[in-house]
Amino acid sequence: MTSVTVPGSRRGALGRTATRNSRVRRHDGAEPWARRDALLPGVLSVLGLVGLVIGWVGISDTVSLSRQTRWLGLGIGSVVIGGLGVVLWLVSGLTHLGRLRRDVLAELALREGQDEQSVEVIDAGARWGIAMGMRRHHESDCELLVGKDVRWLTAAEVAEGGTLPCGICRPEARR
Amino acid sequence: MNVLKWARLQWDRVLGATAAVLGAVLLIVGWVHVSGTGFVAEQLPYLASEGLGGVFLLGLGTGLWLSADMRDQWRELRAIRQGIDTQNAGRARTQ
Repeated sequence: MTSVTVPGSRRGALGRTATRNSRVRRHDGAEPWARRDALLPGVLSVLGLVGLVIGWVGISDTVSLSRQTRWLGLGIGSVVIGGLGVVLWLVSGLTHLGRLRRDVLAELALREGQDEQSVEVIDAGARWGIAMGMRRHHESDCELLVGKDVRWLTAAEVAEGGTLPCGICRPEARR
Repeated sequence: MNVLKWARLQWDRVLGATAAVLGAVLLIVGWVHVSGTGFVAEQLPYLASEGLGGVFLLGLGTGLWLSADMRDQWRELRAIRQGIDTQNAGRARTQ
């Protein structure tokens, strides 16, 4: 006779459906990076470090300005390559982080929308709602019922139960 | 909290800060070395080792520090999502 609509059990998955369906592979590890994300940045950083050391050894080995300039060029290039590795690392982490943030926000938005719709009177004869521990009955649009496990009562049940009308939605005054 | 325990938990921040401080020290030492000689052939090795090395370490330190921030955000977001999933499962059972 009385019931409250409860949001569907699959709603948790709904928020993630869009991401799952996208062509990008979803990462769900303990960290924002998968192992494959570390490969290229790691290689670039090591290359940068090795190039820096080679450039330093090379430049220290000669007093010719033109040769030194070449080794210096290698050093500068190595720093750029190493920096590129760090940038790639951060970008891949930010990408995964952004995706997770969008998932969570989508689920929260979905939940908020469903909570607002969750108080629905199924039985046409039942007008007033009451939740566990309440001593007052409420109109179906009363904010005090939102998000609660509501039991719906008919006028006869209210009279029989002896509950008081809510002071905010004033069910008696709307009759 | 024990400093060692904290350092183990915050290894990425410790490493990032260490790299950044080392990079800054290298840059200062390089500047002192370069300014100590008037010969370009003597200055360039300092530039290549201490100058570029300092820049490299500073960049690495910044990257590690930002990685640590992203890890924290990731953990918090995952915890929120796990909470949502748990609540959803609970609601599905009561349905």
